[in-house]
Amino acid sequence: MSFLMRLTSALSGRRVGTDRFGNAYYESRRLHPTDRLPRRWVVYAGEAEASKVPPEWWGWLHHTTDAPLPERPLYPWQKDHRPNLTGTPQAYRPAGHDYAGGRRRPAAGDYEAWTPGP
Amino acid sequence: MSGATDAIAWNREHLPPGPEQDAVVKGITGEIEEKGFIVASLDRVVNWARTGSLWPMTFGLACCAVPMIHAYMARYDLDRFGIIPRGSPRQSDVMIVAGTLTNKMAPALRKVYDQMAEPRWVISMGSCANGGGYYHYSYSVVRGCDRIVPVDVYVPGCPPTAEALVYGILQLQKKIRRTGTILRG
Repeated sequence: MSFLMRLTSALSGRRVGTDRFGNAYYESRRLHPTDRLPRRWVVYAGEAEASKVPPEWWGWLHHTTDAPLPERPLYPWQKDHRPNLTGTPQAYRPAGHDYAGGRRRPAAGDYEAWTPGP
Repeated sequence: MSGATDAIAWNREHLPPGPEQDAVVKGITGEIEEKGFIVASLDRVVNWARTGSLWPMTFGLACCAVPMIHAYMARYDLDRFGIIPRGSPRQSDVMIVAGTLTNKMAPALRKVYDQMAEPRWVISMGSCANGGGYYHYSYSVVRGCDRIVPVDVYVPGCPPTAEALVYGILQLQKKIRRTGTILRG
């Protein structure tokens, strides 16, 4: 994040905490003039990317919760948060995708594909 | 003009065209040729200019136009990204297809896309533009605007929030930075 962002965050904001990915969260000292709420914002660790915010802090950022939720998995099936990986080599490709080999499971055989032609 | 060349001091000892001259020219340009950094930097400048002034074609077809208008207005303020809605396809870089694309509208959409100047991008906004959405089984609706034009970014939602559209535009900027070339098309 830029130098100006760090400066304004330090001057007008109160550092509330950091998540496990290193993103820092701030809350303004003054209330918003019409919303009557403090402004909340995030200073990203590294490149600014909105999907880096984990759900525990996302709710706090949007005033859904007063405090961030605990950053431990509540259920054994929970997976860790990942940012949007679109455009990276780790992007999700479903089975049969052209970039993942392009081999599809054969269809049920209850229809015939129409081939355009005379 | 042959007499004039003698008058210029720095041109008196020039090498005639031939292998010797080629060697001198190679010595100057050879270092740059191997690295190719000039082209790479120009690429970044071009991408910076393109991502900093995406002018969308206003193509609000249905209710998705309302969050699109929200994104343009003061709260989300797409103007801070240099994004200014244009009324003419000839002046625009990106088309935001916001709403249900009907069979009746499809030729007009394609015509507007064809009139846009290269390089051009398309953002498909909302379920209806992505794949027909609620009207997928209707007799009069195109099942996704990607059947008519090539789509770069799909924004899901019914309708997507203005925040989601802003995120989609940022994703398009990332895509331009990742894949953009100086060549058009």
